[in-house]
Amino acid sequence: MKKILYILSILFVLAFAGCSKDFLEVEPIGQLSSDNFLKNEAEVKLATMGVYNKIQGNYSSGSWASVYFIKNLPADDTKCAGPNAGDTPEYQYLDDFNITSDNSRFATIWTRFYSTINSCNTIINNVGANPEATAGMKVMVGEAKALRAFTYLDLVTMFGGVPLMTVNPASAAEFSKPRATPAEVYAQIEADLKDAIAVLPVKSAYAPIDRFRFSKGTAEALLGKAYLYQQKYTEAATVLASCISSNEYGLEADYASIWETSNEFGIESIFEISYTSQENYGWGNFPWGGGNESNIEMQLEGPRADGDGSFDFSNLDPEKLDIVGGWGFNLPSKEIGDLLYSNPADKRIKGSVVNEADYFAAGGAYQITDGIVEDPYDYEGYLRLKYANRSRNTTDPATGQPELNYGSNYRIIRYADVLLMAAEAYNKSGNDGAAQVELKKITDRAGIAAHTETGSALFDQIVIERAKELCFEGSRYWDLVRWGMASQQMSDIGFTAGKHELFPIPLNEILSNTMMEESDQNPGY
Amino acid sequence: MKKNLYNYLHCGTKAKMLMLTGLLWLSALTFGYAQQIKTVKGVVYDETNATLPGATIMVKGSTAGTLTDINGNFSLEVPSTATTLVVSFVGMVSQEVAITGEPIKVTLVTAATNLDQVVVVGYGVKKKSLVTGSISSVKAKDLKTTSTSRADQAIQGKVSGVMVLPTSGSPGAGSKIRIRGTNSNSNSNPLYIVDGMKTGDINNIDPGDIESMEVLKDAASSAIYGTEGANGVILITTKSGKSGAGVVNYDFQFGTQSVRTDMKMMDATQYKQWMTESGQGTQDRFSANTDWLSETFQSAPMQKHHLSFSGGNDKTVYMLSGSYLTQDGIVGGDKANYSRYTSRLNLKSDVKKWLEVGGNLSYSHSNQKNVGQDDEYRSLVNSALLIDPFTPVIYSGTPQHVQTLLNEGKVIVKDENGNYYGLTENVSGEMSNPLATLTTYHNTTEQDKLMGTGYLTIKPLTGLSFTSRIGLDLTYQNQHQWSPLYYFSTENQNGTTNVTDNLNKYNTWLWENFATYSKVIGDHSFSLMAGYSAQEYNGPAYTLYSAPLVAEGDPYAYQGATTSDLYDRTGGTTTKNTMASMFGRLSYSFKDKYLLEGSVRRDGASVFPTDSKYAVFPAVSAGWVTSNEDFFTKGLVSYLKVRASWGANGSKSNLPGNEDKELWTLAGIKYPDATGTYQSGAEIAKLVNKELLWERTEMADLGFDIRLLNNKITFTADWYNKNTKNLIALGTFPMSTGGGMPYVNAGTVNNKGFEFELGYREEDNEFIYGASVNLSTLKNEVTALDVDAPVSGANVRGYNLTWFEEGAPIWYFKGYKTDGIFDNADEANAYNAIYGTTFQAGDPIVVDANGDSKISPSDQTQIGSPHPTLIYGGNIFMGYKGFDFNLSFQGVSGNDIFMAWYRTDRMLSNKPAYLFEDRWTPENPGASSPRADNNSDYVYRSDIMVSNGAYMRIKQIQLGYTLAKSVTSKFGVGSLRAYISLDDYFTITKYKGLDPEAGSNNNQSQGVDRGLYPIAAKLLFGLSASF
Repeated sequence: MKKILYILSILFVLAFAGCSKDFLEVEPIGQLSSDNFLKNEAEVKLATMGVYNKIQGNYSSGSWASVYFIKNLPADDTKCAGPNAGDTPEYQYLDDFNITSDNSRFATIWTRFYSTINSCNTIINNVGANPEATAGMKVMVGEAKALRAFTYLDLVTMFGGVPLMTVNPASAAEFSKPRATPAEVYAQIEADLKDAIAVLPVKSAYAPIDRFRFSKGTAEALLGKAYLYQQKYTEAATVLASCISSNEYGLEADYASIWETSNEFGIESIFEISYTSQENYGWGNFPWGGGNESNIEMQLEGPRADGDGSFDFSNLDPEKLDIVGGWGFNLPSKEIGDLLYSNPADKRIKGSVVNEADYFAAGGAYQITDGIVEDPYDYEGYLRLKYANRSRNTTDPATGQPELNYGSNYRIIRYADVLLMAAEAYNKSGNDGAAQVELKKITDRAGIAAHTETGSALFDQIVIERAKELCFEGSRYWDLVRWGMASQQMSDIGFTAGKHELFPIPLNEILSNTMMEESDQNPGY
Repeated sequence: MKKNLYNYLHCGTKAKMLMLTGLLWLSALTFGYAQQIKTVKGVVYDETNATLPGATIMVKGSTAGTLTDINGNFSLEVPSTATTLVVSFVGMVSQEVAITGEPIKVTLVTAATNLDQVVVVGYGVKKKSLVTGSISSVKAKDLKTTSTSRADQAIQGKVSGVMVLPTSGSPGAGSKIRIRGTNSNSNSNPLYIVDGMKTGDINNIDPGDIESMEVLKDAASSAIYGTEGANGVILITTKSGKSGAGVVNYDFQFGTQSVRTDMKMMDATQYKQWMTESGQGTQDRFSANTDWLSETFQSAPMQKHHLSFSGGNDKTVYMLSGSYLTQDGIVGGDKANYSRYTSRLNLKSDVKKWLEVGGNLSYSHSNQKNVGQDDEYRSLVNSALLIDPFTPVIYSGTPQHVQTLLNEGKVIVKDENGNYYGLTENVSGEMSNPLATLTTYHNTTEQDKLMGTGYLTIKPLTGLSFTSRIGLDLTYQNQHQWSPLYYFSTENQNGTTNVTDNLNKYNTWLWENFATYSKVIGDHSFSLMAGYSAQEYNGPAYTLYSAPLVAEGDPYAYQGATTSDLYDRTGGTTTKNTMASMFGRLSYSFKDKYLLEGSVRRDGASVFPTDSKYAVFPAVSAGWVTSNEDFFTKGLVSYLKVRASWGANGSKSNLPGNEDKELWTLAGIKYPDATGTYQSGAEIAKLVNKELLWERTEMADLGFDIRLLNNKITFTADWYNKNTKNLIALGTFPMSTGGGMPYVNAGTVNNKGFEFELGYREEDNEFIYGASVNLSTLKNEVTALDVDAPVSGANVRGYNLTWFEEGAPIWYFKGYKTDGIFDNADEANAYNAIYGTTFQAGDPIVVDANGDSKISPSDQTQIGSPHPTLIYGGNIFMGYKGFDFNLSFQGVSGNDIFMAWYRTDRMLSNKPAYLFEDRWTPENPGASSPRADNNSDYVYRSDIMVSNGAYMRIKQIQLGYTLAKSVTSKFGVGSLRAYISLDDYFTITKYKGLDPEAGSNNNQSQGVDRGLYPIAAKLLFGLSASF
């Protein structure tokens, strides 16, 4: 009996003994690994769409770090505004030139820029090295390069030389890269865009649904911009001329209609970031941490129309002025308002700003609850109409919360910008005739007289036309910086020469990057 | 599970061979001692008729013997010639019994003292006097009258080296336990083992069901649990039945809870003055002077019932129990209610003389309502702190600004009498009238949890047993929430009724097989244990959303019960991981004098990269019971043991697995194309780290246990030094890598300290009295970083507050250091001239921490540590005749709290009165607080927000009376005790916030007060009866 028990016990134990290797292998659930992903066109397209999605989040998310707004904030055409100086202080600081390296908005966009680059790198390196890649996959490698260049151009413009990541790290030892020089970053941008131009189709060659994607023309426009920012005027003129002569683009007849959702991906669109109302978000399910499909920054940047010290839109005549309230940010400066209104014939006023007189004429008022009118914070007499909040551009209140569902796209590069860049490049490379031709297209649409000056007088006009045409589009500040005019134009609002030409490298990057010291910080920070 | 079990069973080469070798060796040992014998069985009781584990059974005049098992049973094979057994237990009077052939029942009575106990150790039990590690235990009587619903909170202040951090004072909220400091960052919770089953949470266990809780503090004690023992182990043994007459026990507790805080917010006059001084203009929207804290806090009832039946015969024992608890919140009342039902069946039977089977099965159902906290944006407590005093709780009519909103079609919340709730005109943003907000909360977390273990033990020979045990932990949880229509502000409104359900189904199975062999040869006692285990965890989670509801109200808040299915959304995640382990332990003692123990465990876990799946964790410990030496004369000292241990543990933290793969996630990733149609996308989920290793904690412990004056005084002291290497953390590397942080080995954290437990007990006829205190010191420091860069943790509105950095405590506070206040303009100007700043009188004097003669964000430096350097607890008890009195206290010091609930972005939000009263004004130079300021970083990101977090709390003052047996027996009642108690009633602290103790769920946010739910003070009445 006893022996039987022993044997039983031993059998009992051994029967269940084991340590299967397979038992400890748990495959990722619901996620694909780069080892087995990106093997066909459909998969590469998924990854490519993911890059667009990242860019979408970097320009508008509920975490309030919008590249669009950040690029605008320090400029002399934009006031941060908002309900008061304390709301979203990280934005206020940028407007007030109280710019510090620990401003978390820098950290947020910086991380997202590199996250975008990270996805591009894997597409470029994995698919690029695949000998069996199809033609369609090779085109998407070009697209990824253009998207990477787009991202690096934003980075180098705002931060100067940045770490140049073109291969993703595989272990902690590879995580830190030193700052590259601006020239090295631009060289990478140029190389990527040239590769992209060689393989990308023109816009019309894309099926209509795909016309949001980087086309040959987009890459050319971006390369032109990269050249212009480096003062390589001849190269800029050549590549922008190629974009213009492709006949893929034109100007919308009505300037004010450009920012309507109905005009998205239209004839003037070279690159825009797509948002949609179709999620019909409610307050209970809006993804505040990011991942929104609607343009939530629109709500933040609509004029405030509730409570003391805000606007009252309740009696607006929609025929005259058709806007609804938001959370009060991004009001125009007096300077840009005055500039636009200086020529009342300019048709761009209607698509840019409205002054107080016209606002009252349309039935506008201020909220008064206790008999005292309090000026809205940072209000200088103008309301912004470009990217204005309009009920038709968001969801129906019956199906979702209108505040949360603006579908308005950000127009990143318009054909008008290409024309203005070309005019500048021609002017700077001594071809004023060609410059006047391109500039006339802009003034004709604006309904104002063409500019016939030459040389630096013509350049002065280009400066003014860029300010008016592209106000609140994130270009003004960086134009002034590259022209060396920032100090002259903005020292009254806090610009310090030798410091504010660049934003600081985010403090956390310097702290966490073993290849960077505090002395690597941009000057003045 | 099926497939994995199959995989698990069908393999094994090396390991199987090893196991086989071990078993053969074991068997050989046992066969070697087989001789002509007979078997004597029995059970040993103490004087309370409880079975006594760990009692020694020896054949008189020989060296053959055994110990009773955890249920007091023994089975001893003795030579057929043996006639008498000696039954002994430390602290009890030894007894001799004759061997008659019948099962033996022995009742041991306490000697002069009963200070020695049996403690549960991993996979076994041990006499406390022979333990070589550092183990603290809490017994049933210490848990019985606790007013908390959680057993882990009940040990607060009762054992040294253990810090209990309630995550909130909200009913049903969890707690974090830190044994010997914080060493890990993602999960520093100890491992809970309930009747052999690993579990992550013990919220489902009524403290009344617990027989004992053992806290394994040193690495040598917990190393047998390998991977998950790095943060210490808490072993919970639930009560089992005792053979004999059935017993019915009933415990009842009823009480009322209230808030006891001295915190005051600015009143209307102060608020108005402050806002004017701080540049906000004249605030004149004045219609009330509301004290929101007193409006928000309320007294709340609670009650508990616990009923158990136990009994059995000499073969089978059972314990059946049930409990019910319901507790309202001091914030939110029944909207913060927590209620819980638990039931338990513990069963054990000797089916054959060589076969024992048993099982523990518990089922619990709980319902927790949540009103939001620990969130500086949207929570009730936070709103109560921040909303201005000008706003009334309710309006009697309809003010103009409310009418305007009503005209716009907004839904303004009304009370039950139809009056509109006050709607602030001053504080913009997410803050809202807390009482109005409460009416919009419909948030319930319902949890069903089934936990059970079943085992069988084969005992082929005296001293040898094989046990196979399967444990299951099934949890089904649904967080159900629906939102009515409401409007508080443009940032805080809901325009579509909707319902959300977050469903979680967790299950873990754990299968352990182990063999134990104990043998006494002369003066040498051996005990060998070896085994292996496998476990699998599956955790699918689902999110469901639908809107709009057919109508507002609980009866309509169901998925699919909507007027449209256009907005229905689903989501989910699934986690799965597995582990396989082998373990063994050898204990040896010579004459109960020299004690030696070694253990080793090899763990394999699915969450590590292929090359580093396995890790080995060894431990050794030794003890010397000096008082058992012949040369030791027992005078003043009645017992002395010196012990030392060293061991290694691991942690797999909360790793999701597959860190070595670049993963793409597709969930929810889409992009609207040129026609607005979504194109699906994929994004890289995180970066790759192919070199991830196990987190490893190594700890050395030196200690001694001493008893003085005939065991009246007990004293235990320990010193430990704990190093956690390769700490697993997220985010140690530059943002230029593109985020999607993989887990990396971040660095080394050191915790060291001393622990003391002192007890005194005196019995003088009918007067029993005594006291105990425990005290622990703690020093926490990050001693090395694997990547030479600090890691940021908790973020407060864009400000990285807590950091993980070499040379500093883990997750210390970083901000501007200040050195007083500029008393006048001259002082400020002199400073400005040096640093290029624009400070004025009344501003804080910022320290140029990096010495570069300018003030920049780089000057932010260490301004506080959330970790106490000293924790202590104690109690005083007295008993006279039927009366008993108990007072217990607990406290910490050396830690800081950062007040993080201020909203610098909402300038008109309210502030505490002390900031007003202590502020600098031209008339009050030399003030301790800066001038009125709503958003300066030099105030709100500086040490001005840091307070001393030390406190001492009187946990309980309890007075009880037990009716004399002579009286109760007339009513057929065995015993009856009634008591009144004040729990958490008195707190001594300098902290000016709501509660120095209420903590955070997030480890990186320890000591960061974002508007926490304070712990309630309770006045209780209780009754215990047994029949």
